[in-house]
Order: sequence, then C-alpha cells, then structure tokens
Amino acid sequence: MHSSTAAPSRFSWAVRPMARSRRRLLVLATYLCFAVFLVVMYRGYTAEPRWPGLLGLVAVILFIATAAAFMRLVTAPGYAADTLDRRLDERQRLVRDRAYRLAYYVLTLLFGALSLGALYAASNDDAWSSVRVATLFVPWLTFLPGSLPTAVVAWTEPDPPEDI
Amino acid sequence: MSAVDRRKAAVPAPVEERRIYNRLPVLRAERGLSRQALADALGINYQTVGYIERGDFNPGLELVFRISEFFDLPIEAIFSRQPFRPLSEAVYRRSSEESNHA
Repeated sequence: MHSSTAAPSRFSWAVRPMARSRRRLLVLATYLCFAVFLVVMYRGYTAEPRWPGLLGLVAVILFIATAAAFMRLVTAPGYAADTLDRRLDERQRLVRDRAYRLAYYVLTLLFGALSLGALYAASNDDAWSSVRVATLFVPWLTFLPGSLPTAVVAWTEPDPPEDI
Repeated sequence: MSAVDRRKAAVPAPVEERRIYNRLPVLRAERGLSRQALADALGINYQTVGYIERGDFNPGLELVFRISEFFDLPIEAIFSRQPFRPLSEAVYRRSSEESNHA
C-alpha cells in the first residue's frame, strides 16, 4: 500500500520549488552578474596597465556569483528542467519544449541584432574599436543558448501548490 | 463540408472547452494520500498532480491508465469531460433509489 508522506531528502531544500517572484529575481541576478562580469573583463583587458587594483578579484567574484545563481536557477522550479526525457514527466517535458521554442525565438532576434551590429561596424571607419566592443556581446552567444531555456522555465512556471 | 467549416474544425477548441474534469482530490483524500505520495506512486512530479487536479493540465493516455490502475477504478470514474456531481450526492441518490425499489 502507499505511504501518506515521503520522507524529506537531505538535499530537498535544493529542489524545493521557489516562489515565482524569487525565481524571477534569480533570473535577473544571473544575467545582471554575467553582464557586469563581461564589462569588468573588458575593462580589465583594455586598461593600461591591465587589471588594475582589485579588478581581477571582482571579475572572479562576479563569475562565481553568476555560476552560483545559475546553478540555483536550474532547480528553482522544483526540478531540473533541462535534463534527460526519462527524468521528466509529460507535463515537465511540455514546459521544457515550450521554453526551448521561446528561447529559440529570443536567440533568433539577438543573433539578428548582432548581425546588424556587425554589418554596421564593418561599414564604420573605426571598425576595429567596434569589433572590440562587440567582444562584450559575443560571450552572450555562448551563455544564452545554454541558459535561456532554464531561465524561461524558472520565469514562467507558476507558484507551486501550497500543500505537498 | 465547406472549406470554411473544414478550417474551423481544424482549429483546436479553446482550453475551457477541452478541459477534463477529475476526482483526484477526492480519491486522494479518501486514501489519505499527499500529492507527493501520489506523485511518487505514479512516477511524476508532485506539481504535475496539482496541475491535473486544478484542470490546468490534461494528462496523456498512458498516465491516465496509470492513475486508473493505481486507484483500481475505471477511467470514467476518475476523469470526465463534464463536471462531476459530488460523490455523496451520487451515493445517496443511488441508495435512496435502491430503498424505493425494495
């Protein structure tokens, strides 16, 4: 027969679903930390001399903060959305697929905007400095495809039911 | 069937019309099961149980069969396209009909 309650796991806090408002704050924190991290990296590499003062330490802290916020985001809806099919039930697969579709549209727009920016930079006399500034945006092309579906799920999943 | 009718028929019905009603909360309460316990038994996430109960998610055929087997009840006793009458009303009406026949 069935037990009425499941024993709480030692790590249940890590997969306990957050309220949607907190999840959204976490999404914003993840991308804000990453954006500031890129700006600090850019400043560090372009400064004379390179990496003045504690800028390097700030970059490391921001990187760790980004990674920590993203890792928490992975299980913030109460399950790791971006995982193997067999670990998700049919509703979760539906949510994940919808998130991928939405993320794909957003990425298409971003790639389009970046392409236009690159075309503009190529036609500019001071193209080299534009390309340097573009390096601020290129890392997004790596980070966003990997993180956006997870962020979309965390952003859109409604608040968890009150009773478990 | 005209082309317009065919096009109308191809468009999915609004969510409200496609809603599947269920007796999961009652069945769970009768057996003293939490959402988590039912979810564990069915191999799904406990939030999915909540979504099904609220009618926000219509489970697929395979999951419906699993639920039916778990409660040992026919599917139509658990799910319906029409809102269910309260179980107490159904039970008392049947028992009063039986006593009238007797």
